[in-house]
Amino acid sequence: MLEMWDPVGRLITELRDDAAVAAIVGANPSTGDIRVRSPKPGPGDAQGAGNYRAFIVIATLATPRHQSVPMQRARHVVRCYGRDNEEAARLYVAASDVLHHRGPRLASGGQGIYVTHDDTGGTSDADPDTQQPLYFFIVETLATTQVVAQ
Amino acid sequence: MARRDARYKVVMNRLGFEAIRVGWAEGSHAAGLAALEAMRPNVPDAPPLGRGLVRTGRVATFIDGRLVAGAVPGGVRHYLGNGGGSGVVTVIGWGFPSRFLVLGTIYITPRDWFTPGMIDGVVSAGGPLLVGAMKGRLRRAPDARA
Repeated sequence: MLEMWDPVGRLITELRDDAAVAAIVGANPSTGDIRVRSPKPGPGDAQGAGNYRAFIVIATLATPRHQSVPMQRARHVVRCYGRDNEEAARLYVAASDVLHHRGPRLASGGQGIYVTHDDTGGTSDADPDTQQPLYFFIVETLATTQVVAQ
Repeated sequence: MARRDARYKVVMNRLGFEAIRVGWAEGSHAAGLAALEAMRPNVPDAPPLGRGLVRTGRVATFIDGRLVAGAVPGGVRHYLGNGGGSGVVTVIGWGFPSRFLVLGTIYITPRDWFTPGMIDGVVSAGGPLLVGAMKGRLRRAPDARA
């Protein structure tokens, strides 16, 4: 049975569960949760200069399906915000290490992910509204569009 | 004893090499134009952020860093540096503020019109465009043996 799905939920879970990512977005400053969000920042994440918080935002760009095979090649942008440029770079490295060239696994709904890749590497940028430093990269996920047998 | 390879002499049609590169660039540029047109219906054009954005799409093709087709806004040229290095490079881009619309900001949810357009224009149509352009150039290329 074909079941189109967006792997973003799985990517969020994998980032939150990583100790290196959680050490940055869960403690800088500590607000009681791991600040990995989608598709927009959570309440209070975006602050002005002098009060920046480290957090990650993942958003779906596209989930093109293969024309004849039950697969998709989804693309997501991961924006890693830091209190300064160095922290944004460390957060990017931690997030990229979680997702780059990570092999086969199953999502909670039984759909399969063959592999994920950091497809672009990190790009340094700043948010145009708050000027907060960030690094962004694009993750490509090769996944099924149906539940796979275990 | 006579050398066996004396009977076989390879004559390379070096005049064809440039035809291959130019044909590749022509096909690549045509694929870029196809992708640009495939993206255009999805480019947001509602004010204030999208106002006029649909008219800013550009395609440019470089051979070894030299612009050979299309147009390049100044910012893109600066980003590319020497045009992407050696070989054939085709760049497709949209003007400001497309980067913020596609990748998102704190207040803007990303809206990617590049990927579907690239699939339609490059993945689907790129092969025939590239082959056609290269065949045409090779057909017209002088033959070194003549």
